[in-house]
Amino acid sequence: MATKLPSVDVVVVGVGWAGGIISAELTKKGYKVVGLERGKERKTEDFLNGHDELKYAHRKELMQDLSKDTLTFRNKDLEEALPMRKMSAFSLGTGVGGAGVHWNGFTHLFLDYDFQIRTKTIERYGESKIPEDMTLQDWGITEELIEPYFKTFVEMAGTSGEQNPLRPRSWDYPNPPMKVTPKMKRFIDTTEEMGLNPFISPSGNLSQNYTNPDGVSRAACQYCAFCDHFGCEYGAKSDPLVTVLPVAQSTGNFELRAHSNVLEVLHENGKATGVRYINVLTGEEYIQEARVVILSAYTFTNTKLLLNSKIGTPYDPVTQTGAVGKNYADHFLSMAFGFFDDEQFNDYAGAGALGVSLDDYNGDFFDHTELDFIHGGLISISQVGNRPIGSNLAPLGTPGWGAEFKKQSLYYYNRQMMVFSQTPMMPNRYNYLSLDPTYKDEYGMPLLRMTVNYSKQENNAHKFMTNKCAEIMENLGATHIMAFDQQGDYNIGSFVPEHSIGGTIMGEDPATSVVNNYSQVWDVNNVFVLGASTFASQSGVNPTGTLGALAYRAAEGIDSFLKEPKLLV
Amino acid sequence: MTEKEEKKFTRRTFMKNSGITVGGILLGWGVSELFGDDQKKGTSTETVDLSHTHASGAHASEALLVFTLEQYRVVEAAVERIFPEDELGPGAKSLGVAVYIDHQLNTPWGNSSRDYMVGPFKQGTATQGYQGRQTNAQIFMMGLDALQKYTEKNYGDKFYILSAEQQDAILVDFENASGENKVQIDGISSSQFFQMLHSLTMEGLYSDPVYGGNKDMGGWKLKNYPGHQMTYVNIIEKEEFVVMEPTSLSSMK
Repeated sequence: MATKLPSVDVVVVGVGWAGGIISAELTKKGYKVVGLERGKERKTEDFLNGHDELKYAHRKELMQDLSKDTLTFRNKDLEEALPMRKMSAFSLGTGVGGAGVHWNGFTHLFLDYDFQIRTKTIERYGESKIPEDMTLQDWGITEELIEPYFKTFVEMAGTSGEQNPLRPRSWDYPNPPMKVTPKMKRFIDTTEEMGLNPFISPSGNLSQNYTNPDGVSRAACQYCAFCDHFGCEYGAKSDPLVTVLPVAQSTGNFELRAHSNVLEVLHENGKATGVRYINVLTGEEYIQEARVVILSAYTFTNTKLLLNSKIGTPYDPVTQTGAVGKNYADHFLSMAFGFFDDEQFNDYAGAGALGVSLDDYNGDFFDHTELDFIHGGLISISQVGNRPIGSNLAPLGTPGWGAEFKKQSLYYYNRQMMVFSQTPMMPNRYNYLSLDPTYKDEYGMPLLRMTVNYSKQENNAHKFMTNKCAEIMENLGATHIMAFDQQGDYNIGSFVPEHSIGGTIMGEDPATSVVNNYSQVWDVNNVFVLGASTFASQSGVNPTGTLGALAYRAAEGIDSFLKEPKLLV
Repeated sequence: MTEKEEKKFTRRTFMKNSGITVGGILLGWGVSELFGDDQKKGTSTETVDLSHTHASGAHASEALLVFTLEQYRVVEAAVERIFPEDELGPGAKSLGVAVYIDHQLNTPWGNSSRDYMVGPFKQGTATQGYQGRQTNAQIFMMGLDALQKYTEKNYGDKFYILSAEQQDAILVDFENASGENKVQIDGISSSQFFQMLHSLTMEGLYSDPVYGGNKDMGGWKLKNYPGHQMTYVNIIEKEEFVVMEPTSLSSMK
């Protein structure tokens, strides 16, 4: 029997960026919030000994324990999905702070084009531009609407950056851009000469000491080169542990319970009453009642919880009805490696979001009339810091082991660059999330099943973006260039960039979406779902800035809902 | 008899003789270290180098947790072929990669304790990732056993006795880039074992020395990698390449 706990205003499921923002905003307003996080507690001090490539980047210390919960995977409906047994493709965060602890810090906002992608694509190219199997739909939001919340997010996070020439904003980032390394300078000079529009990437690594509007002071980035997969021992990388969570805690209205794995959202007559969860250390079950339930776990867990709780209508790719599980998408990398025979770079130094980007081949900033795909990707160079276990590249034709491998991998270790595009998958009728009929998690709940593959859209976009990256690499003056413009099937056993979106998508119509633009669930409207699971389509940029902005908008909506419970849109 | 054959013959003689003669005396001395020096000494059958044994200061943390001495020697020889000692510097053997691997097999990673190990276990497609029921340590030990048997069967000898060319030929068969599937192992593929051996070698060369490899940060020095540093704020904008003396995590205590 589960122990029933006293009701609170808000219960938050998953305490990462989205859950942290909601908790800070609502506790500041005086609401009592309980945060449930299935992983452990974390603090900055944990990372003092954190410059350990093996432990964090390869043994994935900060990532989800798959022995307790994973997902199953197949390329298409005809196949039987099988569990992802090892964490090879993905970097699923866990613990307090969520993936916000191990992210690199790239703080872009999705494009105007993305939020109204269906309307804008038809406006410019006609309806025939959208292939039959591409389930493209608008988000029910515009960039003008989301822009103020994005500003709130970057001010809280202390984002360092400069204006993007193709999309200048009416405000500046709160901190100046990061330092410019020789590689970055070369990329800027070269791409400007090519007529492109580079800008220093907006970064969640602080370029200087900063105190945010909540009064939280943090120190500047030291360029120590341990960001992705790692936590920051300086608190210089914007993460929930050093920004929103201390603010929530200082109000006295926030109670954080780690090791608390939520199994289902309880609801009757179209209204949620709370959640049932298990303390994973003791095995004790609890019911936490609340006026509002927030699902702010990762894309997969949000979708799994809605499906296992029987909230909303599961998406069916055959009849194309229902919306829970719809429009799953990811990024893939299109890239060109360059090897420089006569130059060495200080590549051991870097920072997660240290780099230069350009939007010239992203979204609809270029004409697709003659092209057999839509969208594109942000092209970047970045200097995260080359680490020696993971970086053993040498020009094509070098053997994979032996004396020649040793010679070449050592020689080129500090003599390489990568130009890459984060190319988005577009929503596809057959790419979706559902419950697995066979495999269960440690607590007996069905695993989430992912059905996904690349289509012609992705293959054509990949080829185009790879060629653009290679063209820039040629102009950068590399001695040897290596690029692969063909990609096979979506493969769970190999590296995928993993910015998973969709499953509980945002939209204007309850028939084709799960939440409205306040992240409120249409069917059970005291449940709000936050995070990239609400993105109706993928963009060519990293998701965190957009999910942060949407969380601030949701916080406004939830405040208003607590005062007067109703559908907000 | 060519020079190569002669070398091989002499090495084998050394093994048989030394094994019988000195076995008893060596028990307290770190037998693996003794045997491990065989290849480095080439054809010598006379001298026994004791410089790396326990008595002369081998660190307690270098003791083996999983491998037998025989297995240790095979692994040492195999990883040395993946990353051999040459004029550029030390190889995987002297950098302690075999000790690193031995220790890793006895960790949560070795036991696959954070992997999803629940059945039913089924044959997956090429894109569904690993679907076996074996832990990482089991995969490695199955592969290692197969490597020993394959060598014995096809070359009539132990892996570490063979010439470098012969060792390479065996590893090529295991890597199976040609797709000829010369090596059959029940439950895993030989290429899976080879890839694991390769990854573990890279890890043993370049992980922090706390894990038993990258001896004296020698792997990092080969790449001019400074290891664990608290700041590069004064280097990040520099045009010229800056070589720094590496530091390990042990400096943080």
